[in-house]
Amino acid sequence: MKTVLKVAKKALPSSGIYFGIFCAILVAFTYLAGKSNETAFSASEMNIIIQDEDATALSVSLSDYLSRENKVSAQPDESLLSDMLFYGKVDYIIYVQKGFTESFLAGEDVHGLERQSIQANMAFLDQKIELFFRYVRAELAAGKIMEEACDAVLSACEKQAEAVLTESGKSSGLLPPGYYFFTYLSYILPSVLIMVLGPVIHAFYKKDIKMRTDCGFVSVRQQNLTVIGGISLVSLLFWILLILMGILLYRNDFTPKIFLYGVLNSFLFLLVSIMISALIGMLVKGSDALNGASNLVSMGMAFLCGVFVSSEYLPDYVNKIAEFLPASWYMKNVRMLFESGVVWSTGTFFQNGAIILTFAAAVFCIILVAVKKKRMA
Amino acid sequence: METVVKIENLVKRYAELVAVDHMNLSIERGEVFGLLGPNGSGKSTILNCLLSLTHFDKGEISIFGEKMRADNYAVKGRIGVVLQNVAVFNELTVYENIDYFCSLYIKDKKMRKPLVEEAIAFVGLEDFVKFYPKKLSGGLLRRLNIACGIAHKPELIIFDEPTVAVDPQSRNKILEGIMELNRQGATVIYTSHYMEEVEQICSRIAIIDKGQTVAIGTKEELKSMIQTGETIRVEIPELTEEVLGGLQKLSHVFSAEYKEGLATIKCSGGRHNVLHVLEYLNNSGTSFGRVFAEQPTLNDVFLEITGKELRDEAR
Repeated sequence: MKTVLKVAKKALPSSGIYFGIFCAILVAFTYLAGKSNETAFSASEMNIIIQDEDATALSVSLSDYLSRENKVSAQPDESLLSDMLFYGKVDYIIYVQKGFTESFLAGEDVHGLERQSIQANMAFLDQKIELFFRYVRAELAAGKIMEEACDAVLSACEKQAEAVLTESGKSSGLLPPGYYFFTYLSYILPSVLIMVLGPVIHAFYKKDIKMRTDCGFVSVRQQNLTVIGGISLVSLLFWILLILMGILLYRNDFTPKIFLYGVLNSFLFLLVSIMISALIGMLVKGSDALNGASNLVSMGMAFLCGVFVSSEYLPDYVNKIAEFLPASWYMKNVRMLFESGVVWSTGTFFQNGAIILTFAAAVFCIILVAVKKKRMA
Repeated sequence: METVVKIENLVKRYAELVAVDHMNLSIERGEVFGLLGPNGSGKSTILNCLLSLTHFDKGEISIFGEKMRADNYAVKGRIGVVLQNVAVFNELTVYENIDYFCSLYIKDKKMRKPLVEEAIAFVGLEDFVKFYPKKLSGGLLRRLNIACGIAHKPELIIFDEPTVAVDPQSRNKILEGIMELNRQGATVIYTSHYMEEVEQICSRIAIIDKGQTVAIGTKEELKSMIQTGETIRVEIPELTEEVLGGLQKLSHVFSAEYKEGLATIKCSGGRHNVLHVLEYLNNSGTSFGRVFAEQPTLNDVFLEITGKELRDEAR
């Protein structure tokens, strides 16, 4: 057992890098993901100068309308305006000339309103101004006088629509950061375990070492039990470390019951990850090949099973293929546990768990066949 | 004498290939027994059968008087194995490797410690105990491989070509070590295709070819089995057919060849073969240069029995 731990310890630095990067990404991703749901969009503030010679309800309301999201001011000394624009002290200048409102009411093309900017990205502001005039015209058409029309438009702009991200109507899209922790566990468990357990399995079942140990006083059964015990201990320690990390960072995100179900689900996935890692350790030789296998298996499974990209966005045939992978069933449980739009069912949870265990048993059988084939070779 | 290993009528097939063909062998306690044969002759297969690492098709093997089976751990515990390929963990240091393989036989750590230290001293790896195998030279790795096989003080030690790809200095050290282990009471089975090594250390030798024992005995017994008792080589700038024919007719000479200025004369056992040959050359007026006289080697034995060179296939 001690030797298993020593061999695993030697493999730790390479997987430690993966683990470190993963933890950093996990923490960053989780918090970014949490915040990105809170604010979807905010307009940036600009410096606008309005030189209002018309001084009518329409021109004053335009100034009010723009000042809600921008810094609006007037500049008594007009000779400075060009310099201010050139040096970027102001983004946009509007000249409202005398007779502008009259021209507006006459329904002709709007005259007496000049706009000046040296920045190319002012189209959004132009659109906003056009929109304001369109609203005012609509209010005027409804029979209101200019002052009433302007007030109505300004008060209508006070209201802000709340935007909520919905995912095909299934979930609210507002997920706690801890959700991402449990989601990414299905990536980190196989990827790190392949890197750590692979060298252990490879070392102990290398043909020459195996021949030498088979010559020894210890039965084959005892040897296998020692290796199984060692790799189980290493895997369990790693899993406990992850769960402690989860408790530390995300304990407030869920109720204890939900968290415990999440832990149970991840434990079942740990078992299948150990089996996958052991199988890869048996079949793949060399650290580079192991690295490649780790990326291929863990990343491939994560992409197909909706870890990185939600399965709702994946084509149906991909989701069908994913059902042949254990991570898919793990993710089904994660979704059921943490996504508010998915109905919780204890029966379904344990059914999915049983499928994960079946995967573990199936991979274990393949390992037995591989061991037998190696022995016969 | 106690028989340590007894192989009776052993047959091992790999599909159509008969790797071991009705082999019989008996090894006594205290012997350094050599299995000599070219690559692919079946030496390693015999050892694998002996250690129950592979199933065999027919025959019986007993070690220390007990039938050898894969689960006969009592017998396995008395055997040490040094495999052809270096079988150590790259992730463990020299000390840890020896300790691990010793632990497969001796569970008690306190009992193991002096044995591990003794094995390290025996192979001369005291300065490298904390080294990882990747940092060791080929010769040092071979020594580590040996230490891992002998640390538990086995009564029977099997060496499967332990000197392959080893420098002469390490090779000598390994061979001396094997002799020392034998002096300490271990019975040794030594396989090699290097006839000089086998000749140097083995008290009895079995020559193997195509899975069969073609000859068995001490080196003297093996050499006496063949016609050649002495090979004389004489540098002769010019040799006429008449003189060559005269050489072939000398008593004790059963063959004489002349090629590229060198006459090779093979004689049966006799005390004055060189004298007779040189006397004849003098009398025939043939001038000659250097003269070499050699006792027959195991290669001569192999050549005469199988009709092919052991050396050609080996080195």
